[in-house]
Amino acid sequence: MNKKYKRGITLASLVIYIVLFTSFTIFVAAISNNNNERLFNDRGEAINYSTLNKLQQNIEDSSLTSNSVSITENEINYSNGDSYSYDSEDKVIYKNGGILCLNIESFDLSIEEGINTQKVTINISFNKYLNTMTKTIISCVEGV
Amino acid sequence: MAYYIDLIYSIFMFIIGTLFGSFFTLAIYRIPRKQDIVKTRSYCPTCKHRLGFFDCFPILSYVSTIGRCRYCKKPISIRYPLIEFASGIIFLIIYLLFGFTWQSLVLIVCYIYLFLVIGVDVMKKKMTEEEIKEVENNKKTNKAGAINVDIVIAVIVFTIFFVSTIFVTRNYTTTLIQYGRKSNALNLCVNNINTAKATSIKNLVSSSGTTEIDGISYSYNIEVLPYKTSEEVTLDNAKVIISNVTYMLDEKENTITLKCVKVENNI
Repeated sequence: MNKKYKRGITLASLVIYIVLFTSFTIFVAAISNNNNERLFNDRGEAINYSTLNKLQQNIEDSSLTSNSVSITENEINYSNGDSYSYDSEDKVIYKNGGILCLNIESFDLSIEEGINTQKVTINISFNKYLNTMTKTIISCVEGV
Repeated sequence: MAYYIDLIYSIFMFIIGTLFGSFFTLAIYRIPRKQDIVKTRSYCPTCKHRLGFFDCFPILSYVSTIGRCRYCKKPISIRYPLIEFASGIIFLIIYLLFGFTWQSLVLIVCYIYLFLVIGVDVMKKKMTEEEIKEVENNKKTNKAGAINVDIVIAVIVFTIFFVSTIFVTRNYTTTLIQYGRKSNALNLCVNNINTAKATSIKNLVSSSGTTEIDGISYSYNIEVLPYKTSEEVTLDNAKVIISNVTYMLDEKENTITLKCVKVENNI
C-alpha cells in the first residue's frame, strides 16, 4: 500500500507561510535597523575624532604664534590674525571666514587671565551620524 | 564607506545562505535515497530531467518558472524556495547579530548540521514504500557511509573562507579603536600642557593621575623641571614642562609626550 502524503500548498499552509514570512521580515528589519545604527555610530565617531584633531591642531597653531587673545560669545580672535567663529544655525566653525569644521552642536568659550598668559577653554560638542561627542580644548597664549 | 561594506557583506551572507539552502533541499532529498550529493547534478524529482545552469539559482529560478518544472511543467514543491529563503535569512541574522566572528561560525556550522539531520529524518518519513524498496534493491550502487564526510568537507571549505573574513573585519574595528584612543590621549596631553603653561611659575608643580574617557583609562604625568642654560646656570623665571599620557591598546602600552618651556617675564 502506497504511503501518501500531501504535495503543494493548501490554504492553511499558505497562511502559515505568510505569517512566518512576515515574522521573519519584522525580526530581520529590527535587527538590521539596530545594526545600521551601530554602523552609523562607528562612522560618526571616526568623523568626530577627525574633527576634534583638526580643530585642536588649528587652535594650537594659532596660540603658539600669538601673544594675546580675545573672545566674544561665539568668536575667538588671536593676535596673529586668526579668527574662529561659530554659526549655531549652520553648526559650522569658520576660521578666517572659511569653513573649518562641520556638525558642531555647541561651542562654549571662557577665558582666564593669568600672569603674562591667557587661557581659553573651549567646550565643544560634535554630532555626526547618531554619534555625539563632547570634548574640551584648552588653548594658552603667552604674552611677550 | 563602512555602511556600504556592511551592506555588501549582508547581501553576500544572504546569498551564501540561499546557496546553502539550495544544497539542503538537494541533500535532504538524496540522502535518504542514498544518492550522491557531491558530483551528480540537480534534476527534477518528477521527470528526472537534469537542470540547466539558470534552473539552479536559489529562489529566482522558482519565481521565474512560476513554481513549475521548465521541462515537464509539473509543480515544484514550495519547500524548495522556502528552505532557500529561510537559510538566507538565518545566515543574514547570524551575521547581523555576531558579524564575522567565531561565534557566528560555530552557530552556522551547528545550523547546517542540525538542519541536515532533521531534514533527512523528515524526508525519510515522507518516502513512499516503492521508493524505500527501490533504495533497498539498489544497495550495491548506492552511495553510503560518506555523507558525513561530504558535509565535513563543505563545512571546512566554508570555514576557511569565514576565518579570512573574520581577520579582515577585525582589522577595521581595531583601526577605529586605535584612532579614537590616540585622539583622546592627544587631546588630554595638549590640554594638560596648556593648563600648565597658563599656571604661574611659582604655582607650577609636577603631578600625575588617571582619568577615564569613554570607559578607557588614561594615565597622565606632568613633570616640571628647572630650565638650565648651562650646567651651572638655572633660570628662575623659566621651567621645562613635560606632559605624558599613557594608554593601553591590545595589551600594549602607548605613550604620547609633549614638551615646552614656560617663561615668565613679570617675576
